[in-house]
Amino acid sequence: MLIRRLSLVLRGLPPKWSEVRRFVQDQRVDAYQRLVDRYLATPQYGERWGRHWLDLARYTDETASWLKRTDSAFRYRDWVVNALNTDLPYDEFIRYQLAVDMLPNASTSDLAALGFLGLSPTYWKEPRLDPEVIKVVVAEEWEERIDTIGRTFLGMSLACARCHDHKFDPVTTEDYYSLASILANTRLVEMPLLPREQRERVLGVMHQIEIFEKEQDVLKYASITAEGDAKKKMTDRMAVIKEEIEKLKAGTSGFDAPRVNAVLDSAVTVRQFETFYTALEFDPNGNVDLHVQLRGNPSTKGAPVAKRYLELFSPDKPSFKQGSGRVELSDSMLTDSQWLIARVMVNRQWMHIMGTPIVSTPSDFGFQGALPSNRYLLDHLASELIRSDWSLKSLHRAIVMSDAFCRSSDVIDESRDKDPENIDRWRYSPVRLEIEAWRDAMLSVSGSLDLQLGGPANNLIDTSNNRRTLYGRINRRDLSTVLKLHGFPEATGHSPKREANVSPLQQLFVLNSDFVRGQCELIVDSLNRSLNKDDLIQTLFQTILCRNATDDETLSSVAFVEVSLESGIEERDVWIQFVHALLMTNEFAFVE
Amino acid sequence: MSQLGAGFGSIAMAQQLLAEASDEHLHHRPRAKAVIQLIMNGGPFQGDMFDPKPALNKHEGQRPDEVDFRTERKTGGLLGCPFKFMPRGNSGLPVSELLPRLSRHIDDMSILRSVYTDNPNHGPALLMLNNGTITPTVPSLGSWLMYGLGSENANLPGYVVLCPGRPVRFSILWTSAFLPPQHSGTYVNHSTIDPEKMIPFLSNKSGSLSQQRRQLDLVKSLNDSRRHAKGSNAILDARIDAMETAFRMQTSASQAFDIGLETKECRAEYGEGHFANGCLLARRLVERGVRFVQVYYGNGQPWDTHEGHNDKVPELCRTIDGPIDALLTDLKRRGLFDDTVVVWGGEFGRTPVSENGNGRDHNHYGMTMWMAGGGVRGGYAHGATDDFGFRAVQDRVHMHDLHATVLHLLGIDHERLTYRYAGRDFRLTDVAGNVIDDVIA
Repeated sequence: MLIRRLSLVLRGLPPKWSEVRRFVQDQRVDAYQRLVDRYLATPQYGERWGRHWLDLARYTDETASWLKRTDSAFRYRDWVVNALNTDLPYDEFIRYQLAVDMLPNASTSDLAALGFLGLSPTYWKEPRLDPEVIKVVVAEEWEERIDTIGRTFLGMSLACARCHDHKFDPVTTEDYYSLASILANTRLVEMPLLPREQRERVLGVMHQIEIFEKEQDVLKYASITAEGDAKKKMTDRMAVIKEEIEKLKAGTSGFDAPRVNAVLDSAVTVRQFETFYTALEFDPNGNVDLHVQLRGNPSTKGAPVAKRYLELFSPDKPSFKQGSGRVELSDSMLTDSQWLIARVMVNRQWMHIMGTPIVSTPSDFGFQGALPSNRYLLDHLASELIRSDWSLKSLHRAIVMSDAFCRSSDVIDESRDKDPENIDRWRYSPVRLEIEAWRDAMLSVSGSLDLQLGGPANNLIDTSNNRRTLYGRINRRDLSTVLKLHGFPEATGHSPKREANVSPLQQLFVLNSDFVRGQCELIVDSLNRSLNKDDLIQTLFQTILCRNATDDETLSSVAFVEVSLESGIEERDVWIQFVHALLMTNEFAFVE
Repeated sequence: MSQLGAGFGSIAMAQQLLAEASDEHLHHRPRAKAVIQLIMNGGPFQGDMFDPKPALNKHEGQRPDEVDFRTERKTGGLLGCPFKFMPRGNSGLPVSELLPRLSRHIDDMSILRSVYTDNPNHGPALLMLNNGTITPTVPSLGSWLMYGLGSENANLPGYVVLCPGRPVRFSILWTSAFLPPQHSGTYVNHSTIDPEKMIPFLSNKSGSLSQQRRQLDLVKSLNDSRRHAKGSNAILDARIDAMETAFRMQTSASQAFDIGLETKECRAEYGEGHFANGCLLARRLVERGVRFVQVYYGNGQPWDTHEGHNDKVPELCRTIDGPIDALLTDLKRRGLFDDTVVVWGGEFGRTPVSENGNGRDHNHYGMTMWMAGGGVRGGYAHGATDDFGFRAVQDRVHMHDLHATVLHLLGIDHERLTYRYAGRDFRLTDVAGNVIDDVIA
C-alpha cells in the first residue's frame, strides 16, 4: 500500500480508509504527486520530522534536578516542528540553533532555536569540592557538547581529540580546544522571549540576581558552622538579599515573560569563592582564553588556542572575533564544509524514508565510518539539497517521488538471490515503526487521536492522553517506561539512529497494556455490530490495516470469531480480541 | 557453553568476539555464569566491617597529617570505632562483631581492602561503580555483560536491577547507552513483592490464557500469510518470537519474581525486610538463568551516615548480615555458588575523621568491597589502606580493575569486549583496568 507507506513516512500516521479510497479512485496522472504535496503541507509532517531531529539534539523536557525546574523546553521542540513545517532552509536551521541570538534579522520567537545548546546535559558540581575536580566536570560538559555538534552537523566524532589528536581523522587537540573555547565563552540560560533591548535589560537584572543568589548560597553554607553574632549577621544579610532580589524582580518589566532554554555569550570560569564553596562564575563582558588541556586534564596546560573552526576545513583563516564566535562558527561550517553538512543530512533523510541509510554510520563520516553503498546517489542528493537552497521539503519530495521509494515490498526471488541485502533497492524493505508512529497509528485507527499542535509535554502513562507521542514528557534522567520499552533513545547524548529493537517486555505491553486494550474497545464500540461477520471483518481490516482482507484471512478471522463465541465469550469481547489481534500483527507495526 | 554461545551468536555486532573466539565463543574459560551485586548505596565505612583500624581509637579526636585529604565536607578529628573484631574461619581474617552470620563465610570471600574511586559525590561515584565514568554517556557493566554473553533464559530479562525505591541518579545507572537498547537493565521496585506490580504489563486482564493462545494463533496465521509475499526478515521474525516469549513470561516471570512460593523455612532464613527480599529474589532469578542481578540496599542513600554514624551502623549491618548469610548458604546448598560471582560494596567509603562530631563524610580515596563465589579465592584479604583507613595505599584497586575482574571471571577479556561507536572502540574500562589476579582462585 503505497499510500500507507507515504503517509507513515511523511506524517507518521496511517491514512484513513476514506483517504485510501479517494487516492485509489483518483485517475489523474499526477494523483500521487498531489498526495505527496498534500502530506508535505500538513502540520503533522513537521511533527514527524521534528522528532527525527530531536533524537540528534538529545531533547529533554526536564533538565537536571539541581537547576531551577524549567518549563520552557517544549518551545525548542515546537520551534523545530514549525521550522520544518515552514521549510526553513537547512543552512538557516543550523545557524539559528547555534547563534540566533546574535543574528540581526532573527525574530524574538526564533530564540527558541537555541534549545539545541540550551538543553545540553549538565553534570553536578558539588560546591564543597576542590576547583580542580569541578574543572574536570566542566570539561566533561564541553566534551558532550562538542560531540553533539560534531556528530549532528558534520557527522564527525570530535570528542576523542580532547585527550589526543584524533587517531583516524585529521582533527587535532588544538581543533578541539578551539571549539571548547567557544563553549567556555557561552553559558546556558533561560532567556526571556522579548525584543532585543528589553531582553538585554532583563538579562542584566537576571545576572545581578544570580550574583546575589550566589552570595546567599555561600552564606547558607557558611552559616551551618557559624555561631552567635557571626551567625546572626549572616542570617540578617540573607534576609536583605532576599528582599533585594524580590525588588529587582518586581521592578523589571518583562521579568516574568515566557522563557526559552538558550545560550548567551559570557565568560564561564570555575571559581573558588570560599574554601568551602566552588562554583561557576559568569562574566557577560569577560572572555576566557583557553589552552590545550594535555591528556584531557584541565590541570596540565598546553599551548594557547584561539577560537576558530577545524583547521581541516578552514586552514590559515583568522580566528573568530565576535564574542564567543558562535556566528562565525556557523558561517565557517556552512561555507567551508557545506558539502559534508549536506551529505550528512541527506543521508539521514534517506534513512528515515527508505529505512536504511546510504552510509550506515550516519553520524560518522570519518575514516572509521562506513563507505556509502551508493556514492553517486549520496552526492546527487547532496547537490540537490544545496541547489534547492537547502529546502528539506524539496529533498523529501524528490525521494518519495523516486522509483526506489514507490517499488513494491514484495520479494522477487531472482532479485533476492542477486542482492539479498537489497542494497540496490529492488524492493522497499519493510521498516519497523518507531514507538511514536506505532502509538499514534493506534490512536488514529481508533479515532481518538487529538491533533492539537505544540505546547507543554504531557504524561504518556495517562491512558486518557490522546495526543501524539511527540508530546510525551521526556526526562533524560528517567525515561518513561513506555518509551524505554520501545527503544526510544536515552536523551543523555546524541542518538544517530534508532535500532529496531524487540523484547518480550515490549511485547507484554502489546499483549496486556491498558492503552492497547483501550484502543481496541474504542474501535469495537464505534462499529455497527448488526452487520454480518464477513462485513465487520472487512471493515476492521480496512480501518486498521488500510486494505481489504484476502479470502484466506477472512476465513481464519471468521473461524476465530466463531470458535471464541462457541467457547462462551461475550460477543463484544470477541470483537475486542479480534481487533487486538489485528493491532498485534507485524503488518500494523511495520511500514510495508 | 552452547547457551553462552547463543549470546554471542545472536549479536552480529560483536564481531571482534566472533572473530577471535569462534571456537569457544568466549575469550577464555569462564569461572562463573552469573553475577549478584549487592550495593550498599550511600557508602559504608571500611573500618566498621572488614578492615580494622585500632589507631582510630588510640588517636581519637586528633587530626594527624595522614588524614588531611579533602573530601566533600569539612571534617574534624578522628572518630573512634566502637565495634570489636575477631579472627574468623580457618583464614583467621578479622570480621566485625556486627556481622556474626556473614563472618561464617569468610573462608569463601576475597576482601578488597584497597578499593578507590574518582569522585566523592553519590551520583558520579554510583556512575563509576556501574558505568566506569562519572558521566551518564556510556553503558553499564550489566549492559556490557548482556551484550557480551546474551541471556541464558529467553523468558526473563537477563539484567535485573532490584531496588525497594530508587537509588540516586536512577535509571542512567543501568543504561545501555549506545549499546542496543535490549541490553539495558530491567528495573524492578520490590518494595511490593507482588510480581504483577513488579513487572509492567505482566498480567493478562483480557481473558484466559487459552483464549489469548487462540488469539496469538490468529496473529500467527495473519503474519504467515503476509510473510509469503513480503519474505521473512530478522526483525519481523524477532517480533514474532518476542511476542511468544511475552506470552510465556506471563507464567514464567510471575513465578520467578514470586518469593511467596518459597518455603517458610527459607523465608525465615533470609529474614524480613526489603534487602532480605532482594537477596531472595536475586537467588530465584540467578537460578533461572538471569545473568546479572543488582540489589540496591534501599531507597535513596541509606548508608550515608553524615550524622550519628556509630549509632546507625549496627542497625544497617543487622539488616544485611542475615540476608547475605542466607543468600550465600542458599547458593551453596543449591550448587549455584560456584557459578555465581557475588560482589558487595557501596559507591565509596567514608572518612576516618568525623563530620559534625559524630558522622563520617564521603571518602573516595579508600573503601572496602568483597567478592565471593565462582572463581573467587576464599579467605583472602587484598591490599591495604593507611593506618587510619583513609586511603588505599597497597595493591590499590580502581573501579576499572574491579570491572575487569568481574568480566574476566565470566570469560571476557575487558580489553577485547569493545563496541564501535562515534568512531571509537569503546569498552567498559576505557583505557585502563587490570584483572586483580590475586583474588582469582
